[in-house]
Amino acid sequence: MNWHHGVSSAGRVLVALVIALVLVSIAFQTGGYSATGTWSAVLTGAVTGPGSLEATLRYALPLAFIAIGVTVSFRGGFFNAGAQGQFYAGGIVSLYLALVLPASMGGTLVAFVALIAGAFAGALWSIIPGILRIFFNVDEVIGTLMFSFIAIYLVTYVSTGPLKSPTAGGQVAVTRSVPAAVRVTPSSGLSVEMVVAVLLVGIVVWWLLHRTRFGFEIGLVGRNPIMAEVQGVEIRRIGLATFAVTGFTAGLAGAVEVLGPVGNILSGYDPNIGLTAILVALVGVLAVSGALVAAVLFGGLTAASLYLPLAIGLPSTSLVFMTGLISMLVTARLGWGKWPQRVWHGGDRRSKALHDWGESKPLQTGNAGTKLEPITLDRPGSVGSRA
Amino acid sequence: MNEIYTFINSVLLGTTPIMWAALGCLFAHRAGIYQLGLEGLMLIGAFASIGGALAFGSAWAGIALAIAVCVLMSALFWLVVVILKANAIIAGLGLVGVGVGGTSFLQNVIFHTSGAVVAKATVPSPVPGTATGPAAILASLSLLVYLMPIAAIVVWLIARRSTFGLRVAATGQYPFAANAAGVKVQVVQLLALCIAGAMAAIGGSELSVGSLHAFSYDMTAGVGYVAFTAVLFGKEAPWGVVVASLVFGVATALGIFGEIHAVFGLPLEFLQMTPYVVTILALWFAGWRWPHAGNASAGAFAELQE
Repeated sequence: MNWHHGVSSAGRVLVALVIALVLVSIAFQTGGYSATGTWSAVLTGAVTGPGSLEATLRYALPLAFIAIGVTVSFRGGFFNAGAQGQFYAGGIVSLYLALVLPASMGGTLVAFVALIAGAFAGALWSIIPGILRIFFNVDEVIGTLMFSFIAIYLVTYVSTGPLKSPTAGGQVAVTRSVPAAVRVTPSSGLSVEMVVAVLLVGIVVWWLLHRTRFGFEIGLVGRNPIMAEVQGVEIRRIGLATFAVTGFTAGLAGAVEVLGPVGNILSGYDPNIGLTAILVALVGVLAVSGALVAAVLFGGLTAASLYLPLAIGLPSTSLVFMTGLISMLVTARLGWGKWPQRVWHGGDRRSKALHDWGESKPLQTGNAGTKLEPITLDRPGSVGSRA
Repeated sequence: MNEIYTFINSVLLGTTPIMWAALGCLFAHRAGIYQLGLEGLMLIGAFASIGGALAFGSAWAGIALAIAVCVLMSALFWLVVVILKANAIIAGLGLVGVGVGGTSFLQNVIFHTSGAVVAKATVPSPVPGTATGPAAILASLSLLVYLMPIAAIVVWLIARRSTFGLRVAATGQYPFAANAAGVKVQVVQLLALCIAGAMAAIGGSELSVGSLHAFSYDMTAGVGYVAFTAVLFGKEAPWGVVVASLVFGVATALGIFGEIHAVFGLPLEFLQMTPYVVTILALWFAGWRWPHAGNASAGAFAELQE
């Protein structure tokens, strides 16, 4: 991806953002909320209000972690849509370790171990659907989404079962709280260490993507898996690695949230982070730097969405409507750019054609003869225009 | 014996929304479009049917409104995916976001609540409510449950025994050939998506005005994704989809059964995971080669490529 490619994608993303903003404003206006009032409230909640900027960065932090990982997957053409579940897995494991590891180890060490373990738990939660995708041809979008649903029930299980706080009353079950010594951030959710951590993860992933053979091969697989296979890239290895990286960062985000601002896990805890993080990666035009900028943008929206119910009585979920609209438009071809392709599967007609065409062995990524399918077809629209 | 009746009841309740949505989504898949936004469409349908039922005092008017809204949303999805060539998966996830956020927003605007909206008018049952014994369960099921087999037959007739169905399959399998043969590929895709939208609306209506008689935030909870998977599992063949929907219905019922009766001493949450685990297993099996895999549009996914 050269620089003018990045600029043209950014232009397209901006157009999508503007269209979504206009549509949402119309919806708010018809719903009886003044559009200008809403957006000034969003601005107050995200930037100008007291403590708003801090809140924006606090919500940008987990989004940045996840989006950096999602960037890796999407560049490789694997649609890992299960960041939410991987986030939960990381949160649960890090909470468990924070509660059971002896305090004599020292808070810092316990926090470090818990964070790393959480990240690995996320990686595990991601790599299972990854294995199912790569070796058993189970579509990764559905696989990762189903693992997210399973993780939601795991959250309910730990908060009502083994880790349940015996003292907490009220209607919603909650786990015991992380000891103060293990907390990685104050309740504001921001600490120098965590900001450094996210930058560090960003730099490492950037280096992986742009300065290593691994990153180069991810790009190859994402653009043209058949070509990559012919060139001797082990697609399976690359695929599993991208699943692992995405899960790792999402798990880390979950661990940071639980050991940081949240401090426990509520039954039905839903930070609504999965779709938003995918969107952050796409709005950031699948670049690490772009993901960081977009994370601040969507962090601001999240901060504002929590302020809106107080300020003008708009439900906080109504911004999900907006992220949904952006998501519908962000990959639309509004004039510029091109996105990396997804590795599609199913069918063997054209894999066979490929087999006949060259010496390359057909891609054996599924069981029982299901193969990665080379895609050479153009869209029907372009047929019509050519005819 | 009562437990068996209850179980059959939950199987039917679980299958109905999945099957309605999946049978519609079948057309979208056969036309070569991955309609992942099914979850959002079902949610929109569930909300619109409650709204319509409250406004017009009739569940049928509610369902009609739900169908109208979902067809409109499907047309928008078509515009974004087919005309503007957006990635169908991302746009589909976006449609889910629009469904979740939009219904929540409207719920607050129209009903001034973020809790449950209770339906006043509901879909009636063809069996009189005075029945006792096993028939009492039949009387508790909405007419949409009984219409399900008819819908399956009609979908089979249209998909496999009509010119339109042939055009849809041709569009999905090889758009060049379809185009060369004079099929208006984009129009066929629009119609297929609209059928998917209308039937997802009915599936969502079954959830709100059909069986639960209420709407609450994000009430579909993944049923749309399960229906989407049922199409993949059913190999995009009408009867395959029917069987797949039944499998998922049984899985849902097992989850509910486990909530009532402790099974193997497992915690409740693990039993509630059943439908999702079964979904993954189903996709795994779908990768296997069945002797008669039906007229699945293998090249369908190529459509989404840039």
